[in-house]
Amino acid sequence: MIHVFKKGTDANLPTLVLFHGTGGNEHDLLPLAEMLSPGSSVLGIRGNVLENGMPRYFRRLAEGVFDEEDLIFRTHEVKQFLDSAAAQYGFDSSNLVAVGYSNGANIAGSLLFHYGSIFRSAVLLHPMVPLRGLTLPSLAGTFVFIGAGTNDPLIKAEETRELEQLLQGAGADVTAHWGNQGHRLSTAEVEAARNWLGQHMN
Amino acid sequence: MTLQTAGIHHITAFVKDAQRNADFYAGILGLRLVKKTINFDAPEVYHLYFGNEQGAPGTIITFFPWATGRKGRIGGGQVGVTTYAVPAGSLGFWEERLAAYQIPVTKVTRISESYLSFADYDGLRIELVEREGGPLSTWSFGGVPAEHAVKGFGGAVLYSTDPDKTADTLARTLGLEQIAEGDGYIRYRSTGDLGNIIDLKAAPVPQGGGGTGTVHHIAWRAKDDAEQLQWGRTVQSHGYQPTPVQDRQYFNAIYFREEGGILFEIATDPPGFARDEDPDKLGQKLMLPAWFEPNRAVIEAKLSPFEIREVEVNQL
Repeated sequence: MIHVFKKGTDANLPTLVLFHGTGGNEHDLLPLAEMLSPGSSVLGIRGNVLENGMPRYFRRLAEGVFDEEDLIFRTHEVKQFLDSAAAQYGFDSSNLVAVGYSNGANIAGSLLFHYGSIFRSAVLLHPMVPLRGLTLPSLAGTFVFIGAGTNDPLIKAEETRELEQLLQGAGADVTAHWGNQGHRLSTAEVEAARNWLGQHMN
Repeated sequence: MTLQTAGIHHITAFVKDAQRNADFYAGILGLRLVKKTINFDAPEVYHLYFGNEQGAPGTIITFFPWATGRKGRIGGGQVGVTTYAVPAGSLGFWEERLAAYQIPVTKVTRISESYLSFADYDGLRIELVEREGGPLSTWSFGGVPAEHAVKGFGGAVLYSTDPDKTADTLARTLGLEQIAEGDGYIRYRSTGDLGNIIDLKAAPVPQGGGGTGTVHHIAWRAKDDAEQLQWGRTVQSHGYQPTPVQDRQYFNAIYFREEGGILFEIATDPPGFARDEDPDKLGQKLMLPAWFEPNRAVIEAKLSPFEIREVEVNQL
């Protein structure tokens, strides 16, 4: 997969794995990573699917209607890539923090749904429920931050709460931060995520 | 000056199989396939448009036939029922026709009107009602004479997870007029003469799930691009964030999800379906936007062919 890896200055810090929103690329969330955990190694991954020229992590047929077959295929594809990247760059694959926005938050969510504690922590910014009807693996010991908008036009509050409950039901420790900036990533949300991550890094 | 939409522009839904879809909407309901194109987000999936002879706004239902799609669940945040208008005195003809095709029909009454209620092959709920308004269809196909042909949408029944908020959006944002209430529904009317009667179920409906056999969105009419810009501002002033304008080839579109969960689109009447095909030949050829044209051979190879055909009663 197309990606960027930047080695951090502190090998004890977790490696951040960055998943951009629709139309973004592997560099998009580098500034965000710098704000969340300066000193961490960072792996930015570009989605392998193109929608009208815009990269995404999995295919959809229309807004909110995911191609579940493709989502599952792409989830496993990202997992394989993470394993090979860990070997190539020598980062500790047991100390990863996923950071995803929108479509990127959904693929990160799907990775948690399929692989359990693949990430020690996950910062999911404006995520949806990636898949329904799945029996989740154990997420005991995994910390998840959800950034949501009370007036997010793409994601209803019920869906955010459903995701929260699904993750908690699998044993994850979930913190939800509610803003009112729609589907946008707000400064308050980033600050909340940074503070939260600071508390859950070790 | 408050903007008022003329009514429904089109309704878009997911189904499984293109041939079954064509058999139902063209073969049985007698609509015209006015455009055969692809889902611009997923080029191996068709996007089929059925309407009256020209595919006039207020008559167009569009489908994504998605063979591997998971079945959805009709519920809150969706169009629950799509209503088609037929000429006065035509319900008897349709009752017999649907019976001949072994499509189970129930008769229902809502706010003093009688409806024939049934489902298509994918479970989408459809109803027919006699209405005076709107031009008669000039399209006759498969044994449906023009005098009884579907004219276009009568309207739609909306299922909301928060009917108070949806009611507010219909009235204050879209400019629909509340004209009746009864049988558990609130009735609205728009300024057009087709696709103009919207019934909102007054009680909240638990959230549905998107997938085949469900409606994805309902589009409302804007006169032109200039009016669409005004709509964008109006929608924003009511607290929504509409998407930027998207080029759908046959209209331009903006989208927003209203607070009852239903995805609303505002679509321009122009340019219409004759922009890339002769009006006599609409729907016959696979039409691709310019950016997909270089890949036509690959795209065509992945689409399973289907035909518009008369459906024999004993063929089913």
